[in-house]
Amino acid sequence: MNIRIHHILIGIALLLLMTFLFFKTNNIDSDSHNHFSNDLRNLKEIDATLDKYILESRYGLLNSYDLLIKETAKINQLQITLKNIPTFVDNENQEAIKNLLNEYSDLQSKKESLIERYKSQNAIINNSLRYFPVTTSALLKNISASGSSKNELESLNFLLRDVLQFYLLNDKELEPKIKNQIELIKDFQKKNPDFDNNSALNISISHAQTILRLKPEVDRLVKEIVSVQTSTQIETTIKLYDSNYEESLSRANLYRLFLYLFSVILLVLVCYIILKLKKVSFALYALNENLELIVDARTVALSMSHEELLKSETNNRALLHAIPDTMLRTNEKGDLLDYISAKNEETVLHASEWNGKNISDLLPRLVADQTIRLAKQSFETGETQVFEYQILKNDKASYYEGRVAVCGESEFLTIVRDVTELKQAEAESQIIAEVAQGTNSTSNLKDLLKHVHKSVSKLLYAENFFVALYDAKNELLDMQFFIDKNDKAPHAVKLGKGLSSYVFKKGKPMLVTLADIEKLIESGDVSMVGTPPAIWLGVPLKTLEGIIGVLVIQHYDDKNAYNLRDLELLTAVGDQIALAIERKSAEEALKTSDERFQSAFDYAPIGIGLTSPTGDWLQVNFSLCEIFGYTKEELLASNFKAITHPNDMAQSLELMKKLLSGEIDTCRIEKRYIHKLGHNVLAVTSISIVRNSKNKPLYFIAQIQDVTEQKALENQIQRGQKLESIGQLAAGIAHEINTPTQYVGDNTRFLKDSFEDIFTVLEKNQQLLAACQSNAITSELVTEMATAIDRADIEYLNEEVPKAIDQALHGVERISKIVQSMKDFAHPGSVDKKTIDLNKAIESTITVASSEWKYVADMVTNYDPNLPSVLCLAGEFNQVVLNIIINASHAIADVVGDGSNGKGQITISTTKVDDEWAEIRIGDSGSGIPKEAQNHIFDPFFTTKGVGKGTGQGLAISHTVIVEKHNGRLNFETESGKGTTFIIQLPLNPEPELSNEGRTQ
Amino acid sequence: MITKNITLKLVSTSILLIFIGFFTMCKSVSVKTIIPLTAASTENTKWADEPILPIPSEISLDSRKVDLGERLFNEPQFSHDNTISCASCHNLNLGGTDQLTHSIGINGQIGSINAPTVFNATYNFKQFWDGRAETLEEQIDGPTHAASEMGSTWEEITEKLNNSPDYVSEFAPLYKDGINTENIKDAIATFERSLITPNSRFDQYLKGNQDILTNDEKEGYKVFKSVGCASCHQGINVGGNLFQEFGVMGDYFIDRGNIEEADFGRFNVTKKETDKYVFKVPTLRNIALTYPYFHDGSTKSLEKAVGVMSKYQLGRELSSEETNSIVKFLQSLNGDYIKHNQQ
Repeated sequence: MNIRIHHILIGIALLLLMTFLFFKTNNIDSDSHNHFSNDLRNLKEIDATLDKYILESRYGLLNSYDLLIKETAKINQLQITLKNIPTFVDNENQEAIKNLLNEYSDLQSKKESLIERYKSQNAIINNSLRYFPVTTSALLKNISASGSSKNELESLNFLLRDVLQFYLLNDKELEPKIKNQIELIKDFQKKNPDFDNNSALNISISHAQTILRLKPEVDRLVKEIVSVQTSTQIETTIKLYDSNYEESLSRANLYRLFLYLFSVILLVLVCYIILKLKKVSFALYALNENLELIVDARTVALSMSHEELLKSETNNRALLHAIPDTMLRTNEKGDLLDYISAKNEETVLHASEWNGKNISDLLPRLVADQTIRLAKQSFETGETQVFEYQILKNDKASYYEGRVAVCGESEFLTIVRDVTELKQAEAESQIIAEVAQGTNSTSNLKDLLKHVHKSVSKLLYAENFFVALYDAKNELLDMQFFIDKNDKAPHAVKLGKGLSSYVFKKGKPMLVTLADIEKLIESGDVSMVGTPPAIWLGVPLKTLEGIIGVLVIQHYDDKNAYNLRDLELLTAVGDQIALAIERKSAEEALKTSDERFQSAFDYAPIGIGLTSPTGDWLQVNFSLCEIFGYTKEELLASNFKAITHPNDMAQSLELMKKLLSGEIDTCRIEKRYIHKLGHNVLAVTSISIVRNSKNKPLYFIAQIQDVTEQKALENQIQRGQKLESIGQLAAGIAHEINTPTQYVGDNTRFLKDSFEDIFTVLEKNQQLLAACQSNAITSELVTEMATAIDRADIEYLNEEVPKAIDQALHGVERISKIVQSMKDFAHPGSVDKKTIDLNKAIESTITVASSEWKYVADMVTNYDPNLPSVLCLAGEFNQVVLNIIINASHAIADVVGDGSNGKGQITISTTKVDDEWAEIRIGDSGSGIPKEAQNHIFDPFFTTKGVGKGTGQGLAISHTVIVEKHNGRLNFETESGKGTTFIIQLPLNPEPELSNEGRTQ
Repeated sequence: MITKNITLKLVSTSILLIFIGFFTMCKSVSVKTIIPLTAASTENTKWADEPILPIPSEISLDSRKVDLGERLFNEPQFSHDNTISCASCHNLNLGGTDQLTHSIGINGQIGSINAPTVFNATYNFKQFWDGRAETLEEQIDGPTHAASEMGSTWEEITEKLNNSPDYVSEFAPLYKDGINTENIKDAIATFERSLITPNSRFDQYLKGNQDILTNDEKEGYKVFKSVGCASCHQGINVGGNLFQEFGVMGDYFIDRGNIEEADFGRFNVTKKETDKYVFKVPTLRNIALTYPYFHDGSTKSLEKAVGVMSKYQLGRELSSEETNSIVKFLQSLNGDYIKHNQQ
């Protein structure tokens, strides 16, 4: 108890210590510190501001005293808030700070009263300063106008000058002088009391005196105000406070350190205690376990010795009991001497009732007799006799094996064993083996079922036997096999109320006698079909997929023909039969589908053929024959090479090699064949190779599709598109040509007029010349000549005519350039590939299309001068470029409208990417291709333009031209809102073509 | 095993707690928040170069206190015989004054000095003619206690108000400690702070509306500045921010005669000889309404008042044109008083 109290006391002490430390660390209230410290610093700043404002007002920089008041008010406010000195400052220093602040307050009120005085005096001196020069100069003017008293005028003048000088220069020596002058003026006034300007002189003098009096006073006030030691006082306070704060802070930090150290020590202590406790509890636990082990060991030893004792006592009996069979010891008459009943066997006798009974009480009469007979026989031969018998119990036949052996004088031991299960398993496995064998040995379902029937009938009465399979598609139960004494095989029936249907639906085997059937009929579950049987046994045929049918046997006379064992047997076998049936059905279905496939092959709309690795036709279908015009027999007797166009032969053989070597598995080729009638057949041919499991090539499968007509159609569409784009351009081009034509016309007309003027001059010239020659120059002629030159304005013509000619020529050049571009663009008649300068081709296409783009976009071109000539179909290439430029223009127009608010930009560049590829990039600043359209832009008839603006053929054809006809690539990059760039890549060294069109893909 | 887990958890948690504690402590030590000094903002507005500043058109106050203050301002129970309220002498309809030479206190007593206007008093740097009160709150002590004015005490006033259930219930939500001297003063002073008269035509002129003043008035403002009036009458209140001797350039009191204690002005507060005849320069706002003028209410005419000022303060004679135009300018200083909650 004492120890516990001690512990509690120590705990409380520690807690108190911790709390004490904690409070010490939180001593500093940072809020009040911040306020106080900020207030002090604010005070210092405001004090400085106030001084600044005083000086500013002294030098006339402030228009009102409001700012002074505002700052003073702020100081007074701060003085109030500064009365709350933070509590962490100790009492002594609190007092010191308070005193400092009080001293400051005194200084400040002194300063304030000085300021008040300053404001008043400053106002007065300002007024006098403003008014004194005005009134004095007015006075001077007045006096000089009256023309009297020069002396006074002079001294007044001096007064004005000296007062101003006194004020401005702060010259103290002037003071007596000024006073002297004032005296002079006053003397004058005394002598001349009637002087007109006496009152004005008085005003002037009083202002001069005011300035004289107040100037030093105001200066002194300002000096005093500024020199009041308020700011030093605040600084001293700040210093004292800050040092106090720092001290408190370091003290608090020291306490924090203590607290932390204390916490760590406590923690270590707690850990130590916990570990120690743990150690003790572990030791206890180990001890406990040890004890338990010892107790366990002892208990086991005890029980073991007890058991051994029991065992030895009942050893022999247990041994006998362990034998699962029924054992009877009898004398030769069959009277029981000893009896051990079999395990799991219901016996006639209870274990305690056997005494005095005879064997015939236990076993059926016949069996008992046989046993006694065999016992005698065994006695004679000295050998153990074995016999089997069957007993019907609860509708179930049980098989037993009896062994009779001699055991001592006239005593026999009969051991009876139940072998029912053994028997049944034997039968089952026999049937299963036979069914399995049947599955392989029979060729169809019917045979299999016949075989099954045979197997079943070896074990059971099966004169009336049928198997019905369920046809799920037609929902029919179809007799696949039917043997019956009385009835004929019925037709396939809908699942109905027959017993078979009942079994099928329930999915459970059923053994029923006529009585049972009648009961079922009564309850409405089934109805009778065919002759009523005495006993009926049906099992469902189950596979993994479900029930596929029913197997039924029945007997018309003997209602004991089957028992529950038979039902079990047939159920077990039924699954095997079902599997066999399923397999057979699948085989048959496969056979059918093979046939179907063959017909699909034969009648496929596309030509299909199998060739050997060497190319001999192994199998061809009707379409193939039709494509080439040969009969099946003719084709099968020949080789694919025989019908391949000679120009495409090399390529085909090359591909065949690649397929055989395994380099490729399939290929697609567009090649020409020769029809039996001699004309070419263009066909897309897909070839794949089939190999056996050892990877040896077996045959080629070729799918051949006649595309002759399709190709022709494509070419037609392409031409149509070209016409369409030219048509679209025509109006623009007309306009293009029209403009230069117009100014060619204008200039020519101007030339015509000019020539007429010049001609007039020439005429006059000729007249003058004639006069010269005939020496008959008259002044009139000369004047006329001059007038003609004047009128014709030869100088002007001299200047303008060459320009007009240049312009006309330029116009003509422009027209011819457009026409040339048209020609270049159209490339009429260029069917074969030619090497062309791509840059030039693009340039002429740009010119042709200029009416499309020039109102909406600026064209920026960047040609690679090192781009070599490329072999291509010039006309078609131009058309691709044109299509893309037109699309670009439309895309930009969608963004910029009619181009009046700034145009977009089309950028075309050509580059030689490497030794193999030339690249043309055509970019626009349109809105980009929407994501959902990106996959379709090369599809024929896909267009995003409005009705009438495009047929959706342009890009599809462009793709065909670039990819198929030039082995090139056509791609695009697009960014929503920024634009699209189409990238055309053309091979610089196209492979020598096998044909114009054949390509692998 | 279970005990082992628990002890492990215990140990780790306590270590964690101690470290968290330590770090938070360290943090609180190292962080020194310093509130930045507010930089004095110098407003560069249109009137920055003018000696007179416009009154702001809005002022932010607790309008419930303003309402309460208004009731108190009109409350005659402040006077000993329940006859005189603040509003008796500071009638808001008469320019915040009673327009009498000397005000009348309880029992018909006549006061010793002219009642200054209560309008814009908040802009005065000190209160009373002699500036003896630093604040509006402090000022309230004066009239309530002066025997010739209200003749009451705070004990009396608080008792009277505490007897009124209306006042008790009105103070309760605004002041925790209910009706007491400090809170009464606070409410009245708050109301007085709401008594500003912005939007005078002259202020509108300062704010840039050139057409609001007639040419005569503009001329008057020019004269006002040039002859030196603005040396004292400047700032937002056109005065009210300094003391000045009455009779700088001439002896007003000898000329007037009959000198009384009230004429000593600030001297009565400081007892300094230099403060004799020194008064707070009064505001000129609403000056046309706050007649009679000066601490002695000696003149009712604005022209005459301007003449007195020019003679004794500026030491000059103004022409009648100059006087008239200054008067015209002064009349443009009348502002609008709008009740605080309707501002």
